[in-house]
Amino acid sequence: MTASMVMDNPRAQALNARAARERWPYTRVPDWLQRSAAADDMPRAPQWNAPAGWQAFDAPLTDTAETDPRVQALHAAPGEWNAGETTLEIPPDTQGTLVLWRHGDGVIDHALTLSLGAGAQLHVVRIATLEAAATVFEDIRVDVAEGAQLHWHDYNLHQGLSHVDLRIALNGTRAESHVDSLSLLDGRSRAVLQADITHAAPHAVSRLTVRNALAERARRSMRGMVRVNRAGQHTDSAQICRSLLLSPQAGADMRPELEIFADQVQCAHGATCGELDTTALHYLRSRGLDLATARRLLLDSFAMPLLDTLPASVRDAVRPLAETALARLGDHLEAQV
Amino acid sequence: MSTLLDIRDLSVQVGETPILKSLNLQIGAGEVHAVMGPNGSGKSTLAQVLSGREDYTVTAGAVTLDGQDLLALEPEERAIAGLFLGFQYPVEVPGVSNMNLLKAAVAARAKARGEEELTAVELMGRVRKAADALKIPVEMLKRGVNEGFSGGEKKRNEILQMLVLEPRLAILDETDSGLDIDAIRVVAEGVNSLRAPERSVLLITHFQRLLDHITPDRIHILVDGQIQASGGPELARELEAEGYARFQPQGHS
Repeated sequence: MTASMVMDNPRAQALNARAARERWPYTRVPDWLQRSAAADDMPRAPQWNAPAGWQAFDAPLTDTAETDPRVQALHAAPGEWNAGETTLEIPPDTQGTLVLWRHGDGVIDHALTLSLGAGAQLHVVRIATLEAAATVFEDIRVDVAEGAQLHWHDYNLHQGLSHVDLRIALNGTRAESHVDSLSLLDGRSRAVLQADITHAAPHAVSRLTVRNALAERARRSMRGMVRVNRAGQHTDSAQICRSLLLSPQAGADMRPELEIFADQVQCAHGATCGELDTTALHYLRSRGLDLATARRLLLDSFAMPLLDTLPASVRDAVRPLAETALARLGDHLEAQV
Repeated sequence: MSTLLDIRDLSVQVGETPILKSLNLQIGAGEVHAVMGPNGSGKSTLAQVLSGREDYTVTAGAVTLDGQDLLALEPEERAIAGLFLGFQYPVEVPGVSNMNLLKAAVAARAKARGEEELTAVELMGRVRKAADALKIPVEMLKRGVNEGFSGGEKKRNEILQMLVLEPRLAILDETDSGLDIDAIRVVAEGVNSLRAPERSVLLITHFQRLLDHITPDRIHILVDGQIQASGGPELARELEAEGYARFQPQGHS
């Protein structure tokens, strides 16, 4: 690739800017990213529009009643590079829901800094419905003060590449962070999550629950680092990763990690990887369900627990998206036989 | 009386290991049969093979259900043909409610048979009746399939599915194991309520105690992959007193 080609190609520009900053030096840039347009044979990502009535993202959260979600929709058209950053302070003792919706077919490069005041309760729902040539980099930092709760819900239902750096600092006593991440991927899509959760105060709670169902050549990489500082006594932490590989070419790379400098902590971590359970499939078929239906039910069973934790106001909007993605995964299984 | 299930010279292996060796068994319509045998005799293999589990290889023999070649059918086609297997270890499917599974199973039958689907009210009525008979709280059916159920609750849930699906042939694989006396009685009442001239039941069990509550027409002793003896209900009592030793094939005892 010559210098002038790089200048003409916004995706390449973005990637070079990234490499220069060494934010994530390990991502192998897939060949297809270098292509200037999306391949026609890639299946389409599920489309979604925020329900009417949802508010502007930076409208202030002021009361303790649950209000309509605030939506930040970031879109990049093919060849476009959408870069920016947002900083939000969540006042003490408020609660609310933020929806981060990433879509389009270009490059999105965004930084988000959130600061939760004491006692605040915030649900953040990140939905990525990207097209095949899209690339998303997100650098997210969240500070959680005393008694505040962060509920992070992450849905990768896309083609293309999504890379999320999620750094959470539990700075106050009894601060909580609950991260759920569901990836339903096919085609040649790739989703990376670099989660880094620091327990910097006593009695803090963190949960990291990752589930991936991967078809065709999809790959999901996750590094979950839980750091417990010396101040983090009585930490209660668990990381659980489960991956379903629905094709021989799909891959999951899960690394739940711990770094502990306090002596009174409870930290669990684990990762499993496998195919659909043949005993469960047989059980459902023995009740008269055909193979496709049985597989689909098991896929639902795998994914639904990560939708159940959503606030009711968002669940109805996200569920159809997940169902579309699950149906696509089911179709891939059909096609394999 | 017509034969509902007809197993002729059935040989089955798992990998390279033969489990069933030229097994013969006929069950007439309306009859209840019991297959008893020691651990490793092939009882569960028999149940799994009849239900169409893929991990078993049929090397010889034939099985018909009501004249239909069972071995040629997929597991779901066997179910629609009227076969039901009550699993020894029922599977948990979190996130899919018991009610939804029953709905899907009943709908699949209606579709395959070209019948009209049950309305939600009709299905609910049938489920509620079965749940009451089995002392299963209806709230439990809203939970995921067998999700967080105790061993006894799972077994009762199998019987519930059986009652709702109304099979022609119900195979119950060690449904009694892990059940306390009261639960065995409840399960037995469920099975007895299903007894009808056109329906048959195959009970697979270790112990005689289930047979105190469900009187079988015939008992078969399965040892080393073959039926070594068959007889009336009195055979179970002999077994309880003497064990399986005298049924060991020649050269084994």
